[in-house]
Amino acid sequence: MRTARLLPQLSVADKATTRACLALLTTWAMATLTACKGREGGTEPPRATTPIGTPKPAFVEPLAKGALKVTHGEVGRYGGSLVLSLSSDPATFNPILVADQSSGDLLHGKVFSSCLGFNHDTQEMVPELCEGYERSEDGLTYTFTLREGLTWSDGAPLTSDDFEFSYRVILHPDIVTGVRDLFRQGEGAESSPAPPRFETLDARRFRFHLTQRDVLFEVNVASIFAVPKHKWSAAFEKGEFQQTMRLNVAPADLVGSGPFVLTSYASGERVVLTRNPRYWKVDKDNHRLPYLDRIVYVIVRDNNAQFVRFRDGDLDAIEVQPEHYDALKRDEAKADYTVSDLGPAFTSYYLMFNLDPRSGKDGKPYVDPMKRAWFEDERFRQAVSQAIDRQGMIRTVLAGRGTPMYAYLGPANKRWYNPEIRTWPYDLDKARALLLEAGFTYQNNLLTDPKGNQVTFSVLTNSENATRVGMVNVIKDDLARIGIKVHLRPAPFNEVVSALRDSRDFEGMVLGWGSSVPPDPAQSKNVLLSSGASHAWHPSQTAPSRPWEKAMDEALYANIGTYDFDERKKHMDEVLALWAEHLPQIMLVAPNQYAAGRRNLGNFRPSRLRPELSWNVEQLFLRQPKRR
Amino acid sequence: MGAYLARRLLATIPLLIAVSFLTHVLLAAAPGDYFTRLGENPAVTDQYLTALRARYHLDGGTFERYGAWLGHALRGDFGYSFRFDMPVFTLIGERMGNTLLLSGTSLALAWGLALPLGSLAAAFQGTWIDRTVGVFSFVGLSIPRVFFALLMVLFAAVSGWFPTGGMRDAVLWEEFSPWEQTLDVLHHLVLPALVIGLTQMAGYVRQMRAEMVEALNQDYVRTARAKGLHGFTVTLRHAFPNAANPLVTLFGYSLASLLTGAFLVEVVFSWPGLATLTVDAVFAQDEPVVMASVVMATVMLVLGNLVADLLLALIDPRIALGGRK
Repeated sequence: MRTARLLPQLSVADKATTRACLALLTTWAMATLTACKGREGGTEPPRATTPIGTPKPAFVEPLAKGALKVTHGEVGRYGGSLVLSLSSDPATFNPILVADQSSGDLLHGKVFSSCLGFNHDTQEMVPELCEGYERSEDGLTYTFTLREGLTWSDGAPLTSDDFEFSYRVILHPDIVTGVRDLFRQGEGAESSPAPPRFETLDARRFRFHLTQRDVLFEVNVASIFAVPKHKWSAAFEKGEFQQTMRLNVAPADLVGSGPFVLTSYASGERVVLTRNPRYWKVDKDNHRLPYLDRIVYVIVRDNNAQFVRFRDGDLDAIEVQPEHYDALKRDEAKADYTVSDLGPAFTSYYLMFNLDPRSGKDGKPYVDPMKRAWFEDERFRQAVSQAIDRQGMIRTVLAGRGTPMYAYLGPANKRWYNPEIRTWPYDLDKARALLLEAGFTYQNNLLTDPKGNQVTFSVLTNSENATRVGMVNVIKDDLARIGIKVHLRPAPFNEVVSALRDSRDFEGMVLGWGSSVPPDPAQSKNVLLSSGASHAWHPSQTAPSRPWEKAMDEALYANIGTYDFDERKKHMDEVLALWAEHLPQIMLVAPNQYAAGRRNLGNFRPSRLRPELSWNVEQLFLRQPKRR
Repeated sequence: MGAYLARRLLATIPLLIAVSFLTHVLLAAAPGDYFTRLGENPAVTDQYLTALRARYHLDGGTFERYGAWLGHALRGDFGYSFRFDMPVFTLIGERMGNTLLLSGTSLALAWGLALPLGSLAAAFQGTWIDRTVGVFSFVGLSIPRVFFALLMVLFAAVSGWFPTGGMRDAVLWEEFSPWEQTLDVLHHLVLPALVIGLTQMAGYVRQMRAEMVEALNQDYVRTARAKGLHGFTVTLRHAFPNAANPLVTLFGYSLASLLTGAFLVEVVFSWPGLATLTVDAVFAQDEPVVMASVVMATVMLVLGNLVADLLLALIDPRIALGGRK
């Protein structure tokens, strides 16, 4: 849940940028927190019947009394194996230590559940293990209530003690987990006063005491994928928790609470998950979930190999890369699959100038002061934005499959997008006019600053990423038309990260943004706030240096200072408007996303956020048994 | 013999140290380290990275770290993978069996074909048999292995006769009987083993043929023929052992490639061997895994050479190990 915050994506393959998702043509009446609360706790416990097909392994009776009813989607059919792919081996089976994409896709929501989940259709938090929570008036206490009769996959009861244990593990300084940082309280994420105190009220209820309000606190709690205390507390007391649930764990020891349990893992080959016969969800007709007997994850490292294996029928669903879209779409009519165009992705690309006025350890300024003076002038940045032909960039670099972007959040984020912001459509005359207004002049068609220096700068990007390198080349051509000379500076991935975080050695940089789940702007504090470590154009400022940064800080603090969505949206609109006007980063384009799945696969509704193909895995089903 | 072995094995120690040191220095010289890429996530704080580096002893200098590694390695402890938090040998062990299965099969195939085909070509020098074998080995030598592998994947995809990758059936494996499981692995093994086997064979065939032609022109062969021995017996009993001599050296070298020779083909056929593990480790700068892989490959090379020398001594009475007394 937390590994994909709004983070700058530098991944080599940059797969996230080309991931697919379904345009949500249909809407479903979604179970919201309150609706669910009302529905449950009734006198009649849900029945457990069998629709079509026989679940193998069979469910273990009884069904949890407080079972959650999934009200959207079709009623499915039991049986069968779903075959999906992972692009690499998982690094761990420990849900608390997850730091890589494969492990997260495999464990979170599959083998382990958390208190709350995220509905990809509505972009809202929904109940999972907890039937709901209450927030006190002052926002400083949260009381969560677990469902009645929950058990772990081995049959042991799942109680508040398991959450108490898991939270204790997460906070322990020797445990290598990023989840701990979510529970840091305080303005700068760096300062760390006491994390929220955990209080066990009874077997089903527990409470967090916060020291200050946190508009995302329920999201943080949703990042706690609880592990069973009865299995792992001995190891934790001995200081060996870090070595638990590694890849060589005996499958029977990996006791979970998700719809599936681990059956086998062959390194470099595949991971097999089988139905958890004690799972605690039912469909709208009270049939127990999940429908699928098994999920087989085949480890296929290469995008092209994934495509071939999907076309050959080995894989049941894939995220389609733009270069494979045409080939799949062409055969769609006569094939047994459908390909969906899901519109712009949550991921995006940007060009950023280094506005950092500080100097390195050697006393040399990070950026040549002459160049920083150009970058600092927002008319210069606006002119650059106006001179970039985003449509041309989409045509040449993204094979025509992308959407122009002008602010930090794009149209993919339906909940937070602001369509009223200023845009910078391609217009060389206006760009030149802006530059002249800013005091630049042209000598022999070359842009020259007021002091007579020719305007030229380098743009850093990671060399492994062909898309980004292609974008810098487009920028180079476009800016040459307004007399600016750009040098491409490709570098290995690690050097780019280091330039971003430590050495600050760059003039311009082209990178990308990924997205968090949920894609809430409060997750981007460290980017948007001038004090943030990822406010990468000028990070970790003690006080905002520019008037618009001050305004953005204020608007974001207002956004995260209230729980009222309309109020929050108003302030976020302001943040995005300031961004689009002052261009701390010149947003370029968002690639479009695509997914493909067999027609045989029921309830298949891919999302643009992780895990794209399987976020609703418990209700996926095969319409016809597979023939082999 | 014992003294010779001891001397040879002792001589590998400086070699291993040099190779591992070089690997370590090259890894250290690359920008960043394993944890640098965690920094792409804005939620990861600098304190957290510093703590991680301290935990995995990445905060020391290059020489200091190499010293620590060497100290542990000499005691047989090659450390934990950064990525998997598991002992590297557990990780490598899982994959090594698969790699040895593929490269062992290919090796058997290459030699099993090269010796008889090379001998045949020499015995029927200048005939259509010779020319056919010649064409085969010429093609095998000329075609890049990766390209051949890709062609075979294409062939598998188009014909549907063979799986396009992997080592086992993804879906049905658990439901197979042991017999079906064996057949399934063999079915997956055919194409990658053919690719490696045939490309390796090409060189050995030519070598075998050349040696054989030379041996068949020797005086002792003429003598044997003059005695009235059957042509087949002459070739097999008299010419072959003499011709095979240089090939034993080649065989030793081919043993050295057991672990690493199949790398490219493994990647193309998604074979769950050492290749993907090691390549990933190199890109991620997962030092302990890279170091262990390099050391193992070096050990294989040394052992291969040693085996070749021992075999030579065994089949050729003129060769005495460790010099004459």
